[in-house]
Amino acid sequence: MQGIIKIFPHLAWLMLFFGMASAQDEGLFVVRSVNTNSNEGVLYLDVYIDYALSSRAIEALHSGIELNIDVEINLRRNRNFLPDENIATLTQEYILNYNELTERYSVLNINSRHLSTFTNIASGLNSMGRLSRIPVIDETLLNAEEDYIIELRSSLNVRTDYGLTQFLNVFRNNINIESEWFRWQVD
Amino acid sequence: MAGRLRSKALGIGIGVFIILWVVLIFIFSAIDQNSQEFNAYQRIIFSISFVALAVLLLVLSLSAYGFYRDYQNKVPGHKLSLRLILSYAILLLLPTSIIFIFSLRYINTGIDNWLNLGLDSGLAQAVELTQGAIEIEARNYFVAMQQIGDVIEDAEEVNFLPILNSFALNNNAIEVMLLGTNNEVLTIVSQDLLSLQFAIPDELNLMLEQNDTYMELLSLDNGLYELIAAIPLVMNFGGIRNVVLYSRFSIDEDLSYLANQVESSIVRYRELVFQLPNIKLSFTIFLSFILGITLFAALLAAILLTRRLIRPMQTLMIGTREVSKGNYHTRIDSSTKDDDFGQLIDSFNEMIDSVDSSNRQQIKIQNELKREEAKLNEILSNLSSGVIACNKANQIFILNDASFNILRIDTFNWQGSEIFDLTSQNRIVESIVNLISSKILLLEYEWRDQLDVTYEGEQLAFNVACTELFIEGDKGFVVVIDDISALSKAQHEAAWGEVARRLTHEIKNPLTPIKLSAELIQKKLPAKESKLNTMISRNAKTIIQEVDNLRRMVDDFGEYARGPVFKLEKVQVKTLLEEIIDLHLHRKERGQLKLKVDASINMIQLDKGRFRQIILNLIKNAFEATAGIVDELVLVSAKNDKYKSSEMLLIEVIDNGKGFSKKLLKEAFRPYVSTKSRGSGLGLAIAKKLIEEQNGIIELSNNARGGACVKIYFPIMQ
Repeated sequence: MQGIIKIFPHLAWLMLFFGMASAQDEGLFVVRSVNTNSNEGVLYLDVYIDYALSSRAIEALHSGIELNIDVEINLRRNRNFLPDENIATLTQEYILNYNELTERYSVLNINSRHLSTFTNIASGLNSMGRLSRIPVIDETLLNAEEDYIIELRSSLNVRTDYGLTQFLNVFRNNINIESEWFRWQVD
Repeated sequence: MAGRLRSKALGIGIGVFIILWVVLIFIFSAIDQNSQEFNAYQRIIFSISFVALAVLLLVLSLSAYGFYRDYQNKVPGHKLSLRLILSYAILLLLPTSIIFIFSLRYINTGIDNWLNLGLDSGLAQAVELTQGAIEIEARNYFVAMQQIGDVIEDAEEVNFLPILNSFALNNNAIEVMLLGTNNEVLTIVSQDLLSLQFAIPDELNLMLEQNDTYMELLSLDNGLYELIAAIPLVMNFGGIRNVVLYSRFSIDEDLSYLANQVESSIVRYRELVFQLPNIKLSFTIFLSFILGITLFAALLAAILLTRRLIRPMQTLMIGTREVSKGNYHTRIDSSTKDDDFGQLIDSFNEMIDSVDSSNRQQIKIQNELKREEAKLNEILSNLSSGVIACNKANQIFILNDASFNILRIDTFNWQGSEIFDLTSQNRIVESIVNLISSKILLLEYEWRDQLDVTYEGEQLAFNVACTELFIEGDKGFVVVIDDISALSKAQHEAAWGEVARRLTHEIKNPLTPIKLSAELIQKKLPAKESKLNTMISRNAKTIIQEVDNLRRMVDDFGEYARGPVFKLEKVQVKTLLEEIIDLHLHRKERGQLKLKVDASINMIQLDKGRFRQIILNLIKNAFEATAGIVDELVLVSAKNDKYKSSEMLLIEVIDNGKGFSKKLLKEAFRPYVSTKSRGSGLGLAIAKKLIEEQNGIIELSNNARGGACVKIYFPIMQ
């Protein structure tokens, strides 16, 4: 018991070191800016998300694994004493891929099926991070006396064909990234 | 009740587990090793697997708990069950552990070895080769574009459509465009104008700004490859003008197909390498899971199989225990068993039948023996002779009730005692045991002897006979003791009677002539007084007095010796006693003689004359004993009383004299024992004889306050 107590500080330092090391290399999705604007009765959204992939994710990308990047947008009605009511949900899905043969990174917008290719990953991520004029809802559906909240989150999911590895990836060498929910009230 | 519920739960659990397992196998066979389908079904597969595992563990826990309870309660066969289950477990664990270890080694090293076959470099070279092939084609297109670019730069007319059309047709271009400075389309040739979706890539703009050429190889969803190329041109016609020749070429289908194959192969390979640790882990988990379920299922099967195997044995053991407790009616049902156990159970039942029959026979014999023993005990207890039986070690195993009476023993725990332990009881026993031991020491076991013992002043006689006894192969002996004191006494008294009769006859006959002669001498003496005459007269008188004394003595002697001739009749004792007391009227009146008779006394049967003689004799004795005492008193009483638990009439004659001396109390009934100077010593002896001959009992004692007490018991008429 005393041995464990004695070794505990060393273990704590070790855990802290590895924790920091892994935090540096974990990748980060940050919603930098959001802008809502109305045009012809439709509420549009302009978003800029800063995508930074972990080295593990980049390794996975270069290993031919497709990275699925989803942007989830929820419009919720704020209710007193009750959970918020979900009014609308929108998901923008992208697949980031690397082609060994063409040596180019491709970004496929699943919603629009638009394919863009890039010579470097930064260009691809930058392109993917700039979302403009995303229609959220018809404003006639909103009540001016109610409070509405839009929340947005971006996440990276790796989907693999190797059955159980999909499950294991969650716990082991996790390359999935998820941004914090970015919330703001609709004026 | 709990056991039945457990069994039911066990059955349901096993059923659920089998159903889940079948469903799992069905799903596995349905997805046919397709990983995408596995992905689709993996949640269901995992859920079912975990539920199946949970059910299996629950069932296994229930079974193990049942087995634990049996072990705690020491249910027959619990040790054998444990051994069997452990044996099964070891048999299961050994091969599965070996398989598991080898499988892990295979997973961890075998797969690595497969992937280390130079595939990586091979695939990389294949990529380079494919890239080279595509580059050659792309370069051809690019050269063609440069040639047509030169034509456009040197052109002297603005209609480039024929040139571009010709170029597109010759080079199998999908689209050819001439773009202005702001990317406006100046001229376009397309194979499918209607589905044209033109968008200038950002990178293209960037490169054009730097006056550089642009070339991009594009991989399409349909597996084909396209080449997008753009070169900046400077048109001189009508002034210098910057334009861009933009073309989209379709890569040869065969080449595209090959490139696609190479691409997909390297992607799969790289993904496999990337996921390899997880794949290994997933294989390990899957293997462990399957192995765990198999082990648990096998362990469950082992427990259930063991219980099934042990059950008939348990039934047999329970039956054996019941039989050992003496329940010979126990039978085991063998109707459901058609195997070796069934035969064993049949044999067991046959054996118990036989044992039961023997046992019943034995019980019958034992009962007979008990009856015989009871009879023997009854005979022995009712036997007037004392019987003592000893084994070879001189230990007593029979000592009947009569022995206690004969030997005057109150209590003695004789079981397991040696005959010599009796010695300390009293003088009688000591004498008899000494006689027996003296004979046994000489190894004499067949003998008969008579023993006279004086016990508490009483002369007792015993006839002791010994016989050899054979007990279960060992020698022992049985001693029969008869108290012949009464017989001896009777013989003694008969002898006395005979002597008395002869003496009476021989002495009484000459007494009459002696007395007559003395009286005649007295009568014939002259009246003249002389010294001689006085002397003769005095001597004659003495002779007459002594002859009278002698005659009276001889009469008493004759009375004692006379045979019992009684005239028994029912009498009212009260009346009889009153008549007797009235004979001493003067004493009665003086208060010296009192009579106290209970009104409730019963009638008795006796000889009135003899009774009167006895009571008068006792009253006479009592007054003789109280002679000289101022307040002499003799009390005669009669009442009903118990003598040795028998209801009898008690007549007491009590005086306030000196009482009996200790010695006299012992010898008072013996003939010629008297404290009186002129008594014959036959009074009490005659009284005793007369009373006993009328079935009565006489006892002497002293009062607590002094004085003698004579108690006479007569049986009451029923």
